[in-house]
Amino acid sequence: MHKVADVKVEQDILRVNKRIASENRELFDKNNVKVFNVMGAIGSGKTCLIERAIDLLKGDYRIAVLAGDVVAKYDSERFSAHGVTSIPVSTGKECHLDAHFVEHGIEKLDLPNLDIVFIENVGNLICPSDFDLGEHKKVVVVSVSEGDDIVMKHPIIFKISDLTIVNKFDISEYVGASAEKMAADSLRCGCVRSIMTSCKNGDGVDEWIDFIKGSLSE
Amino acid sequence: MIAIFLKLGIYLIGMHEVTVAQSAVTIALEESEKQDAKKIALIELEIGDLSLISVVQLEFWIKEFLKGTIGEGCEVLFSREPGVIKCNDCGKESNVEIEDDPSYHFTVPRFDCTNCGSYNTFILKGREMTIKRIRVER
Repeated sequence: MHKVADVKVEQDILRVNKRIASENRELFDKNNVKVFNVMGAIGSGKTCLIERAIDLLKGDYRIAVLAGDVVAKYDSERFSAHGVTSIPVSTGKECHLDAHFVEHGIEKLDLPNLDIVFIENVGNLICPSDFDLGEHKKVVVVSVSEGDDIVMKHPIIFKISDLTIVNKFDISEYVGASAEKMAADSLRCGCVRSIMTSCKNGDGVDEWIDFIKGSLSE
Repeated sequence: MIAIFLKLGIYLIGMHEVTVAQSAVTIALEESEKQDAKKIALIELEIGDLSLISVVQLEFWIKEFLKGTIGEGCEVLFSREPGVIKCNDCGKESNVEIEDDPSYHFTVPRFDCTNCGSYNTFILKGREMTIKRIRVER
């Protein structure tokens, strides 16, 4: 006769990710490094926005990038070309970065000699929402070519982000989308701040830089 | 135990339900080992309404990972944890209302305060995923 017993477990399924994320954050704090987790769909302009920020900040700050992607070498090479350290973090078939991927990326960084680390997440508006990486600020990038109802389709990622960047607003009229609606929707979802940029011609990029500089002094 | 991890390792592929299922199965098997269990009959999980997990996918992958272990064929039960927000302006805690918008083909959670209407709220509950209990046979 089998003895059957109900055992209370009460364990967070993502406990390992949360523990490693906390360790990552402690390590960043110990070295006075501010970390930005840049999320957004494929083709929204994450890489380009980070490139712009590197160019405008590298004179005053020491910057590195953890370039996450299913195949990371292409973006990583783009960042390296701007004169900063870039570590490719290839996820293979995984649709998001997790704290463990970032932990191994950090091992290759000279943290004591850095001020800012950008983590470019895998292009996706869903899975990255559930995984803390140990960053200080979450930034979500959307572009007008994704359609102006994209924000309301993915409210959680906007709710948990500190900044929404509505990118490519200069081509709004060609794709029939309202960048203003997207920016307003993100605030309606509870995002703290939203801005509109055109990475291509540089419009609005100064606000992205202001956000980064403001975060550094927090 | 090594065999278990080898089996899990084979499935290091796409979708974040896979990652979550791997963690859930690891926790359940560790717990059953502590209990000297011969079999796991049931695993109960609580999934927050504001997590972005598909329960159908999660159940599929948990059952898949349990094949060949003492948990093979066990029942997987799910319960929900409703979302709760707290308003930074008026301090009111409220349940997250799920707005069923027919223009989209899914439900949209609303994060505005039910008391003062402010969007300046934060999520108190609803993003967690927890293994509540397992039923073991010794």
